[in-house]
Amino acid sequence: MADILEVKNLSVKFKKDKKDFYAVKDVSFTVKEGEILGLAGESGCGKSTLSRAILGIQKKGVEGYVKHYAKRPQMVFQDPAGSLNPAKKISFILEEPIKVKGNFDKEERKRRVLDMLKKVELSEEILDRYPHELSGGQRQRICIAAALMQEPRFLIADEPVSALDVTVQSQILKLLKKLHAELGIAILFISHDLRVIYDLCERVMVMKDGKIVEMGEKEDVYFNPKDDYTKSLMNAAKTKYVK
Amino acid sequence: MSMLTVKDLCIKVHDRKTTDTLVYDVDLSMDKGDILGIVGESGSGKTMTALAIAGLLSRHDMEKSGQIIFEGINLLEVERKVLRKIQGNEITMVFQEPLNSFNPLKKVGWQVEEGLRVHTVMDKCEMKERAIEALRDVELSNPEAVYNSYPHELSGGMRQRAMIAAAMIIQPKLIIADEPTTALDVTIQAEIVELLKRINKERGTAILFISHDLSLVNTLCENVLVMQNGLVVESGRCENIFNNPKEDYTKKLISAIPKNPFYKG
Amino acid sequence: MKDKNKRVKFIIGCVLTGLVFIMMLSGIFYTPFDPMEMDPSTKLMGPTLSHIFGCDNFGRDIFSRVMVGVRETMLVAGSVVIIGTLVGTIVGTITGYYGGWLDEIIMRLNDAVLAFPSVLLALLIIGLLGGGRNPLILALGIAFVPSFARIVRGEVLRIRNLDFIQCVKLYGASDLRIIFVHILPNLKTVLLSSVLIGFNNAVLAEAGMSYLGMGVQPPNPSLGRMLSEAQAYIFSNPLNAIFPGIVIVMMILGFSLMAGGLEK
Repeated sequence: MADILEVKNLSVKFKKDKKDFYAVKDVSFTVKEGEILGLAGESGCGKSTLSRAILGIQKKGVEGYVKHYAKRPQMVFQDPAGSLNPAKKISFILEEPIKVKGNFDKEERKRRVLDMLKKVELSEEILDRYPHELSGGQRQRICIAAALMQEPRFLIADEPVSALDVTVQSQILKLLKKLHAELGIAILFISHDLRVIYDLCERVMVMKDGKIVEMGEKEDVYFNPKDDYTKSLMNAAKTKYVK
Repeated sequence: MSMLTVKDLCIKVHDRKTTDTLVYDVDLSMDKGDILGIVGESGSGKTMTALAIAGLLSRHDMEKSGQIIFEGINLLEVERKVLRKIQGNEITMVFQEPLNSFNPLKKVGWQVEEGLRVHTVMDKCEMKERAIEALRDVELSNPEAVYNSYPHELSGGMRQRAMIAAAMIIQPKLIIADEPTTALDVTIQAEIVELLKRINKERGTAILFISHDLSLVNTLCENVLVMQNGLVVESGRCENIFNNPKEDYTKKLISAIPKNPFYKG
Repeated sequence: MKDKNKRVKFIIGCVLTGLVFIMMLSGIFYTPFDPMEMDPSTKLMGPTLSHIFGCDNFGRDIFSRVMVGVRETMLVAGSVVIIGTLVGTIVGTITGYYGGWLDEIIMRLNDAVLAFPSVLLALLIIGLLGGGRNPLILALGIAFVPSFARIVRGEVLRIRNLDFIQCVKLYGASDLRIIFVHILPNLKTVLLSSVLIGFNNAVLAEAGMSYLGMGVQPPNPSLGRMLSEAQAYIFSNPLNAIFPGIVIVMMILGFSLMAGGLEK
């Protein structure tokens, strides 16, 4: 399988109180076409900074090498509140990606939007609404739909379900699985919930303090961790979820 | 007689022209030393119920009806003087976001002593001693340092432990914990749950544990209430609810829990 | 309960503003007397049936002068707010969106203008361009830009950091598109409240400047100037000052109440 993303010795340096501080330290990995790679890490480990550096959103302090083999990768964010433009209707939000890039006329755009709505299991009448009129789950579905409009081959999902109710979480995860199977997109799936990562991903990376401390097939990382931090993480998961 | 009995608790909010009922007819009871969980998603009313028992719902436009009987006293009807002796003293609360729950301008030690300052008569030295002891009890390795720190100087886990110390220092009969681990990392979550288990075992303090995480509640509590949209949907012993859910919503909630790769069986 | 209060506020505001508006509109077509016509026989006369507000020290009908004066004030205040909003939005958007050294330089300049007393600023500009309405509009407009710029910049900064802007960047949208299509429409609420407050301040500023002699030149009527002229005669006929003053108060109060009543 070909690579869709190559990251080599990526570091992100910030200046904190006149001292240099590395939020991401020398990270290297590849994402293969069509795979779901999991990134497990707790808050403050640097995963969000890493995603921003990979996508080129992080302007300052990036050192190292990032090569995309996919055009215009997209991102799905954690907080459905800030991820949708509050001043625009859903129809506008979904048309925007293909208005910006892609020469489609109005009819074609409408057709593609309706197509995508079906894929994310929402009904047409949502097009006329504004983001604040939608539930958390609906908003996240729209975020996913918008991210898929340009038919990207690579997507970063940064804690896409953490802000949702438990019952809604499982629906959105099911949706992601379905879309992945249908469209074959590669996904970098970031989460702090180890169960979700195990369920969704084939390969897993564990991040702590800006470094990737463990990487490999999920069976190895979960049941045969080599790094101490990974071991403590897995132990905690065991006691947390099993009586 | 049980320690806490809640009967027919209703909480309504009067907003402009409409009345929203946030909690309908909630019944629950706890004996000394029980650990009870309340599980629900957003809008379920679990936090409102907890706040009502803790006495933090005094807004004039929130109408409460029913009974909250704590050791024979109905907290909804008794006068403020008596209420203040119970709330914050025999019933204490631990919140989700320790950063917001601590005063950023006061040292942690001072805030841990607060319970003693309000409800007992002790001199400064004794209070400090008790506070450091309480901080040690919650497994903080350098209690004197923590005593002298400000909230933002501590990590999330340490802050939450300090909050538990503050709740424990006056030796309450009941601690209400509202999503105490949600804002914490997985490794710390497990430790906090173990800490609460230990406190319950060693001191016999009852714990009312509010969470959206059914699997977490399952590891800590003996009994659980499942709430949805202000109603108690199902209640009973954790094992029974987990292995034999009767209501549709409970089944939905259980099936929504991500499969645990470490759970063999 | 809160709703009723708001509704009452809004209605009173509308009534006051409405009255002033009617006065101004009818003043365009008809005034009971020629505002410039002097009549020595009616010098400093109190209110009568024909001269409802009485006459000033030149025998001119105050009511007619007020009608025309209100028009002046509205014109100046309106123009000042338009300049302030337009230029302020441009400045605020550019600095808020791009940041960097451009932001630093422009905002320091902004602060400088803000710190400069508006009276001195007006004097400076009027000294260069002469007195009259247009130089006054320019001077006040410049004085008003910094506060608008600050508010807009703050809001643009907030919006720029929201996730949906990152998404649009990832689609490949140009900066221009992001600014005009995505950021500006979100400024509506903030701009609305700033415009309302700004208008009130502009009315007061105009009255103040005219009072000091820097606005409309005599014999053209202007509310502020009328106040200043009436000062000397305050003991002979205090109503000379009171009537223009009341109209100024009505304008500002009316507007404020309307804005307050519209708040959510």
